[in-house]
Amino acid sequence: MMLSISLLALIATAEATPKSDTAVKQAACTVIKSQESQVVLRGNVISTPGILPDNDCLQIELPEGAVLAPAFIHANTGVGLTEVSLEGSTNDSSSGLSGDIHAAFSPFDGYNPRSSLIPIARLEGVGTVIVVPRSGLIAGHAAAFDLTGESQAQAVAKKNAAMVANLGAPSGGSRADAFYRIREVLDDATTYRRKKAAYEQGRLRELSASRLDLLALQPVIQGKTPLMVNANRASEIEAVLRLAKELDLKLIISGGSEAWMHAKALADANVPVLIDPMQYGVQGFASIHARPDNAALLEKAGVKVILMHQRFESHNARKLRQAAGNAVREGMSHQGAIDAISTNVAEAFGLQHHGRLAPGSVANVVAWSGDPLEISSQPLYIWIQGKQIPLTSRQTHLLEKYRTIKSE
Amino acid sequence: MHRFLPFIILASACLPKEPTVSPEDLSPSWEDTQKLGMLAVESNAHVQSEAVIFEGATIWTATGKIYAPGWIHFEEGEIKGLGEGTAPRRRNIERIQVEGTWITPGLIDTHSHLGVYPSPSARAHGDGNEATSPTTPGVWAEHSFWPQDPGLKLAAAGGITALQVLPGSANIVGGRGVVLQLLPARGSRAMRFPGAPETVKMACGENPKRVYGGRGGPSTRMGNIKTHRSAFMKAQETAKAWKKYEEERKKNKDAEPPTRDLAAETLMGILNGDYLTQVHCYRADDMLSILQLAKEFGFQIRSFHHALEAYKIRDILAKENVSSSTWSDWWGFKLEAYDGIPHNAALLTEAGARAIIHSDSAEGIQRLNQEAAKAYHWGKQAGLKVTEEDALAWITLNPAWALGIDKLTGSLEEGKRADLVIWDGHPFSVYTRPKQVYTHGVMTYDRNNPSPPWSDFLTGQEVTP
Repeated sequence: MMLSISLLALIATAEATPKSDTAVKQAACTVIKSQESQVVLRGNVISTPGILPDNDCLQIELPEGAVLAPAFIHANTGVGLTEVSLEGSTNDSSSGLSGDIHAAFSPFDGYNPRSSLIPIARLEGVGTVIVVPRSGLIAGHAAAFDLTGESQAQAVAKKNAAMVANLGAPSGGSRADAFYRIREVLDDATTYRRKKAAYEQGRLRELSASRLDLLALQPVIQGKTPLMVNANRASEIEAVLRLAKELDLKLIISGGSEAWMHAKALADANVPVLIDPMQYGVQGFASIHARPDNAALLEKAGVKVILMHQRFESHNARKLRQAAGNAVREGMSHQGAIDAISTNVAEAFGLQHHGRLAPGSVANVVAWSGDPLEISSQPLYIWIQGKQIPLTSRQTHLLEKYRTIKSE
Repeated sequence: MHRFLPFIILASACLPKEPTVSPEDLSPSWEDTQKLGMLAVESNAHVQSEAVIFEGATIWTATGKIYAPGWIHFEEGEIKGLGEGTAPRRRNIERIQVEGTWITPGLIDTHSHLGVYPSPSARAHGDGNEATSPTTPGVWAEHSFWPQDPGLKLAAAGGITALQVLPGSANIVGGRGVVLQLLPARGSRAMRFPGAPETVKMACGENPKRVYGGRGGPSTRMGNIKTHRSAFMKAQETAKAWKKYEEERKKNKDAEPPTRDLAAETLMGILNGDYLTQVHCYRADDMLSILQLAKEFGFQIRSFHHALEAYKIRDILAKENVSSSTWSDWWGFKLEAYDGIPHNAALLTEAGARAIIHSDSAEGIQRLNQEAAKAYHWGKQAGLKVTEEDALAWITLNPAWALGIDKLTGSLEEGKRADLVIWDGHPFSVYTRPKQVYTHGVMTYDRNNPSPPWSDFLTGQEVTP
């Protein structure tokens, strides 16, 4: 009796799993050889070849023309925080609490490592996402997750990768309001730090944000955690640069439609800029001077460029490599574009062990059939944290289900 | 050289081929009364100034023929000849060597809101949805269209030569679309694609019920279909009244015509098969409901738009000869888009249904070649029977069919319009860009000679690095 039940269960599982899922082999160590390089994965990190005997490892010989690359990092997305954009009950990307300061908001607690968006983004080589909260002048923490599709604890790479602010997009009032408000809040965060005892004893004037928000802002005012500011108009970028200099903040600019107009200042201040190289139309009055070669101009000026895709940024996170390819089309160097979706992102958000195929790095690796940025290329193998990932998603399952149709 | 000439100089150079109605013809039949709305005050001012022959390119014709290398000759906006190797000798025609390039038909987008939801995004620019009633068949997208939309020039730079501008999808019947050739003018009428039929936008699914759910309905999918059916029943009544009048008129010249009704005129155009229906639908079951509606009222659906689940009913779509305008990889932004898969276009093609890659986006319209390329590679990598030529048709000949202009454009053939793109590499590479774009033989984009903005909005605002 017991036997037949488990046998039935086995059959059911086998039917529900497409063939390609079973092709994935897990090993304690894997040696991946391409024509140009050899990478050894041990556990969840990239190892130095030859440091331990590699003979017992799973050996993978890549076909001619294959290219090994670090899995890409999509900054500024909502993968894992949203399932269906228009269904409120499936969205966890923004604080619904009142007020404009949500510094203590952490996407970590709302992150869903089993979201159907994850395998879909992975199939295009995205291995890590920097998810960001959306609402408020200070929206909360940006957090980094590896797309392992397992638990929150295993997926999280960094809970506090940046503090997100929306200075440039006022819903009413003046752009200048945002600046005076953020000065007030950061000033109060300093006051809170200096007079914590008085605050706790109720001997302090009222401060402009809640206790937890003021606490969350401490690493920002100390210049440890970057403030990631969404700004597009050149004048917004100029004002944000001035604010960061005045308050000695570590800064990341996101949006940056007109960033090329302040390329030198951004390079001098060592401020990374996140841009979408496919959005260069006049989307709004803040991007009248948007240009297709924004990324190329910033790269030339020495700015650390990070590329992203913003239109339906969560479901379209898969378009990251297409975005990078288009930056190259418009004049950015190929290596620069690869860096802009790997090492540059890791550096800007303080992920020391991401974005490189170097010993000691997290084993987030993709073997591509060819140039990772070219449309005709596809991943041959994907490893996230050293674990080989099946090349399937809910979409490939739907394809298999409908590969043949029985007409009446 | 072949750049379009300023329309001010040429305003009288070519006469409009617009339908005209003389005062003595007024109100003879409903079809003629319709033409009153078509009277033009501005004509298309663009003419190809000199003949040209390109030689040495790989020419993808979208008819199945590839000339590698080949030549193409066009003159007065028309393709005069093309073929393998070098062009036959012709006097007084400039022969331009374009080795290493690809030439394809101009790209055609069946779904754009350029001009009706123009950039820059602004409250004053929300002209795409007449969201005052769930059925507004009497409104025309061309009357919302802002010809100064900066997005138009970016679309031309992406290889677009024709596009359908549609009302939004808030309404069950959103109004008439308009098929444009991408040659700038001061008003939409002069941009109308000569010879293109009228088109009508309809919608099903989430959008109408979301917009009207709190405003008297429809608030459900069944309410949507009821609203569709009611609108067509009313149009049938009006059609009957016109038919009766026209019979009476044979006996009595002074017979009184029925009162004109803009909504009914649009729907009657669908009922008599003249106007091409373009229906926004995502889910397979929603599309089936609309196909039933079309059967009930005896008309044809020309294209389902977005159609993310078209792959689930591709056998039926092939049998009913309905095209599907879809994306390569958009999905999930709403629940009816949750089952979208990037193999949709390839699955449709394999089943003999007509697939189209559309943009519905001011960004996507700039790179329709990449969108087709992605859908092609997803299909190919999944082992589906799909060729590069099929994928080229998704953005050329198939959209031309959906808009009723496939006899005029959409492929490179002798006698067709000179709507074409010269690419600097394989059209399906992410690194490839158009070098030059020609609409009706008139150059609209030349990468080596950037032209000033078409849009007055951008004029005087340029900043260079």
